[in-house]
Amino acid sequence: MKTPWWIAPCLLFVAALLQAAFFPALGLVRARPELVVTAVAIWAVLRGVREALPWAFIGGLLLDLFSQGPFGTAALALVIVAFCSSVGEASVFRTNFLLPTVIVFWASVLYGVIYLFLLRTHQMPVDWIGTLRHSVVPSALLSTACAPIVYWLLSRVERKTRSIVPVEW
Amino acid sequence: MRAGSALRAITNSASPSPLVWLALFVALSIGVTLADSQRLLDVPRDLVMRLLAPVQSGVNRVGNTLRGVTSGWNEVGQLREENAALRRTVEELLQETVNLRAAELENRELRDQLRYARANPSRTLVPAEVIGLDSSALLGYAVINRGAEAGLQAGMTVQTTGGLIGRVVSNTATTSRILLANHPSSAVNARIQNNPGATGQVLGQPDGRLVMRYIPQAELVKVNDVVVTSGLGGAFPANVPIGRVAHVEVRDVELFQRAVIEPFVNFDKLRQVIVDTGFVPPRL
Repeated sequence: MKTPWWIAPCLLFVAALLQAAFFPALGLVRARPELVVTAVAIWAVLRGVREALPWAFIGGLLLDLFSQGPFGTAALALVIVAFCSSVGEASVFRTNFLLPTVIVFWASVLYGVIYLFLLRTHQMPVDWIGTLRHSVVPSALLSTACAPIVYWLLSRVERKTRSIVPVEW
Repeated sequence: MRAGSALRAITNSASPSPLVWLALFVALSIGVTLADSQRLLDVPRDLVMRLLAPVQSGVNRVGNTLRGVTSGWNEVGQLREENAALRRTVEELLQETVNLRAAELENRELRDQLRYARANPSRTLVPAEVIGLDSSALLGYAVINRGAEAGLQAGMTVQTTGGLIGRVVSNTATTSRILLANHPSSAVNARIQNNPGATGQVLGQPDGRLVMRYIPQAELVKVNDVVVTSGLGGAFPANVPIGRVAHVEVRDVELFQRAVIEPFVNFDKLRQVIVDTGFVPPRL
């Protein structure tokens, strides 16, 4: 039931690259789909916390790399989000795309809040209300819109990798 | 002792509890943050960015091309209006050019008379391309494809031919991170071009607008007044255009008035920028 080690870095690299370079070029600047958060949250629902945490850590480091923000900040926020998202693993509705979609929305909001909090601990000025209104919530809605596609893709990956002999994290 | 027990729990148990995994990855993330704050990750990060910058640039170009294709369909009507507006602007600019030439001649004479050494106008400008914006949209950074190798340093001013964009806050050998002027954590000392007494601070807003605050109540500020950097504080050179006054808010009960500024630069469509490498803010 474990995934080959190279799947997560490859998928997350593509997601982070789209998020950092492709979406801004399309004009999605202040709010854009958080593809990495979406992928991690859905993987947490599909495969549980043990597989989602390494995804979260790797995805967070990639986001930190592209954003050139304080290194480890996005990783820490995403690890916590992955842990919280894994509550969906226990649900009987986890194979229906609606549950992961709802979880993606709240995961994106939670990620934004934790990330802003961590920025504040780095002594960076944070406008909580404005940033939540103009960036975090719109980004969460866009992530939710993308969630069915990401879910479809990841559930295919999940099915194909189900029988592969694992490499332990 | 507790750390030792946690480590044993991870190594001895074939399937430790999720909380142990969480603690492990939280500790790893904090460890990375601490290592970064000690600048231990600068070299590997620089190496990775050196490899990734061309990829990021390529993906960005694909996005720009796609955007150009799709937006072309919707822009015909907009282009007509823009064309008419541009014609009017050209006429205004022609008039302005004539006035500026006259002012330049007068300025030269005055400088000669007062025997002031002409300020060295040779600004060293480095062109650069925006290859990405921060991946989370929360930090308000742009990333450009020039870094320390091109002579860029933290604090240098970044602008387009139209106006101010922001300043360099950090860099690697081949890329630099720009704090955009329209981000809430950005503050630029500014003044109204035609009224040197009307100084204030241009602050970014969460919705991407610019607002000029702390303008003395006694100063007259009008819609369409041009706002430029004041040079006060030494963080930016003086007279870099920022935008035009779109709306003025005056309240009798307040000490200062405030103005909403329409920036000359469209921060959502940044592509080519210029970095003024001749201006490095003094360290106070």
